[in-house]
Amino acid sequence: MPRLILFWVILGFIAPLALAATPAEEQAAFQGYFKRRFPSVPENEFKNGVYAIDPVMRANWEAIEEFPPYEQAIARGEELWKTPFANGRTYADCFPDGPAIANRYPRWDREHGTVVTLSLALNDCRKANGEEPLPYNKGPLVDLLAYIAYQSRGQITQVEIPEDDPRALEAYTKGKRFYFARRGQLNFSCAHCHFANSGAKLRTETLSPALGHTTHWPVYRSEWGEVGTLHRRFAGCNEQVRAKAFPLESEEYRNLEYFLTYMNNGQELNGPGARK
Amino acid sequence: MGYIDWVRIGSIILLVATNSAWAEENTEVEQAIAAAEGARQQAASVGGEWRDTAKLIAKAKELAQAGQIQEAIALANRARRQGELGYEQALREQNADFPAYVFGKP
Ligand code: HEC
Repeated sequence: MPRLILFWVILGFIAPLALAATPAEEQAAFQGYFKRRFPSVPENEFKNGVYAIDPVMRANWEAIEEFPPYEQAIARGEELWKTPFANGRTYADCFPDGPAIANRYPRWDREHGTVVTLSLALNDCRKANGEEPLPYNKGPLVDLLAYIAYQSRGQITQVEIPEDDPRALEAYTKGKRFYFARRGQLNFSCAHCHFANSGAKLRTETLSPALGHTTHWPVYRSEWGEVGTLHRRFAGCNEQVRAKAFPLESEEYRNLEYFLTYMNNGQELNGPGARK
Repeated sequence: MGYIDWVRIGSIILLVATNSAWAEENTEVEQAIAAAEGARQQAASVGGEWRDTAKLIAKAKELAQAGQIQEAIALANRARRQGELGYEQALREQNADFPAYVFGKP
């Protein structure tokens, strides 16, 4: 009997240690999972989402990409990037290495103790120069994202979780919990569709694997009839399971982007994209 | 008492009765809507609000104003239930993590 008690006591100490994985271990497991699940898909194809795994949809998509529907957004974004604010300064004054800066986001902002996305950084730049912030869902901000994404093509995803600031790990963990939490009336988590059922059909759509989910934003979606952001997609996926969506650029979605982009470290950026 | 007096008393009784039944129904629907709104807010406080709960409450208010009290109460009760379930769901899922199969060997 005492032996049995000893066994449980020891297990009680060991089990939590064995289960607690570091972000780097979780990233390796995440990427390994999708490579095992889609052994015939080359690593650098995941950035093409569902078109990496569905040959019929791919042919259709390649035709669309010949006349990219996001081209005008890039052109408008370039115009905006180069147009000075009322004070004579430009975006380039905030982002001296711009416009090819997409793989620096999302990043942990130590000073404000929060995850900063590219959208947030652009509006911070505007506010610092006395300009009104732009709406996050559509219009000029998304055009700027399109231009920056285009200029950043070929960069490699490299999100960092600084180890000397525990709040960064906390933001990552919150994003992770959000990802795996069942929600809404349908009681699904993101993983139910984009892990275990990736490659399967949901009504008329093939579910894309979560590896590659953060590479190609903003995206021209035929269903939107315009270019939209990753957070708009998050909101759409929340509503699909009949959960109330969170505001774009809310802390919830920024943490989610932080987690999901970190999972995609090593993936090449190829935005803007086109999707159904 | 004459005939007229009986009619008078009768109509007063009738008025009071229907009026209080009406008042009773009215407080019932108000309470149902308030309870639904409370449950919705509680779910929202933990990030667990469902997509349609606020819409159900808005619809219940509309029906109540149009005098369709029983239908309004039924909708409000549904919304309240959604709020309660969304709240419980969010608490249940607050430590959600990688599923074990992701760590499985090939
Ligand atoms: C009920 C199933 C379902 C759930 C749950 C779900 N999604 Fe989706 N998601 C879809 C469908 C369908 C699409 C469009 C087809 C595709 O690319 O998978 C999609 C697309 C996406 C895309 C765009 C992929 C691309 O290549 O552009 C992202 C990113 C995404 N989902 C993230 C999420 C996140 C994060 C969650 C959890 C908050 C989530 N999804 C929950 C069904 C779902």
